Amino acid sequence: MRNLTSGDDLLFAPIAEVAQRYRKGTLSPVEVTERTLARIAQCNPILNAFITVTSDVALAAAQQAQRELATGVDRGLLHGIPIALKDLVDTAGIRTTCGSRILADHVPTGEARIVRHLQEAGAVLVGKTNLLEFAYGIVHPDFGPTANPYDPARTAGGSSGGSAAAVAAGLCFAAVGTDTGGSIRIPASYCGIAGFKPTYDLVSLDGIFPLSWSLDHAGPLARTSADAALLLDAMLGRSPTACLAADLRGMRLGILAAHREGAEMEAAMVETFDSCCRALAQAGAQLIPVTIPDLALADGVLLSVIAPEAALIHTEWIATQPEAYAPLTRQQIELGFAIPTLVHLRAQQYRRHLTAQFLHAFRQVDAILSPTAPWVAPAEDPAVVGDEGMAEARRTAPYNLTGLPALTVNIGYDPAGLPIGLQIATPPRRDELCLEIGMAVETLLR
Amino acid sequence: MDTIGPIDTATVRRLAARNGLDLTAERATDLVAPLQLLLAADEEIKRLALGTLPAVGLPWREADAQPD
Repeated sequence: MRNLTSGDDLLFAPIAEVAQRYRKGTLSPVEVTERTLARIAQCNPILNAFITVTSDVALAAAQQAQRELATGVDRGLLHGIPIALKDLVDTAGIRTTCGSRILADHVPTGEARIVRHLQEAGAVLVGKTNLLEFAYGIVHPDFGPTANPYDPARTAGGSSGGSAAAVAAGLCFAAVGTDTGGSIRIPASYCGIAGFKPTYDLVSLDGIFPLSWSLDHAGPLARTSADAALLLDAMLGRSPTACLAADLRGMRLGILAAHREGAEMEAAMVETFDSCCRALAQAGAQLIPVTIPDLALADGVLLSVIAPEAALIHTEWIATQPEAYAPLTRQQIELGFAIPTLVHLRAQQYRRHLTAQFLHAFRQVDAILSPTAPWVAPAEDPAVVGDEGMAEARRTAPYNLTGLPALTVNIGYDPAGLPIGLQIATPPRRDELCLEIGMAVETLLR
Repeated sequence: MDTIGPIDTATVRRLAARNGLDLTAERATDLVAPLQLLLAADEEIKRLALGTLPAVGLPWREADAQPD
């Protein structure tokens, strides 16, 4: 297998280090952007991480950043840094396909709000990344799957697989993804990077094509939690500034046994998670078992929320051009039309109930830990509908249902060298704490 | 009345038609198993007897005030 997670060392450097070199004058945004575009040209034919590469836009933004920094105009740490956007985020004048045939030639006239914020931060957009069709069904055959940089015979994960693969392979320093049941955290885990789903409604979804409005979140993917925090700042319209790792001494970390166990769990996931927990305890953290009494019901609830909301969004297209969808996407959208209203409403009620149980658990702990996924990157993404899809999202979806912030960070590799992620969840609006714990874990295991 | 009876192809077609989507019998048949799965999960949720717990808005807002 060919590993694409190393190469031009500069393109794998922390964002703060590149930013510092810009300001010292030992490196320029144009040079970094040119090297990034060269690496995309080299690796994208293998990975298929990008649907559209925006070379001209990127070089123009890099030149502008270079001029501004030379004249003392400093927009913060993301200024002149190459980034990417999942191809369901609207970009004015740049096609935004949602990985679909239906929108294959769609060129928005306006920008998503987060894109405006990223432009104000001086970030350099190098392209739009591949995704499962409408972030929902399956890879559309018109676009094809994204390969995993650790092993191109495997998937990068869904649905933000293009963003995860691009970051992991050094094709950008950070990327925007969206997460409705795990679509940032699962591909980030499979690709060995950090992926953060913020608190629900923290990041604007304006100009981002919806899958399920009550579960959708936009967030950053980056090689480290520190870099993810910088991108999140910029997405929020705040000046990206470096934050510090949490002090693990005395920190109360909840261990959710139900998410550590399960017939679907690969042995390497449990062993690596347990090893990480031992390291955290040695660093002074308190490990406290926590239980969420009705957590097991979450499995069947996710789809009862997503499917009717997706059906409503796709009502017109599923009636007028059903053949344009990939077969599995079409089937999942059709399922939404057959779900009774009361089933959907009870699923929404359950979310309140589940949230109350999580908040109760957070009375005892500062954060809750679990493996992010039950397995390393498989050959193909499982369908959302079905046992495998349910098992894949079992550990991530509860945080979409509750809206709580959740981060995945890499904590090791299986015997074949494939990445394994740790999920860290914190109470609502404690997004910074979540990222600071992630930084502490990365520092501890480095 | 809060039951829809056993799920078969005809039931799926009827449910989808109520929401404005005409499905062929073949396509409806493909949805029987996944719908049965979701309805089984719903039976478990019913047992929680959540009454009139709000189903709109941010999930944690009211729960935050009354975490039990």
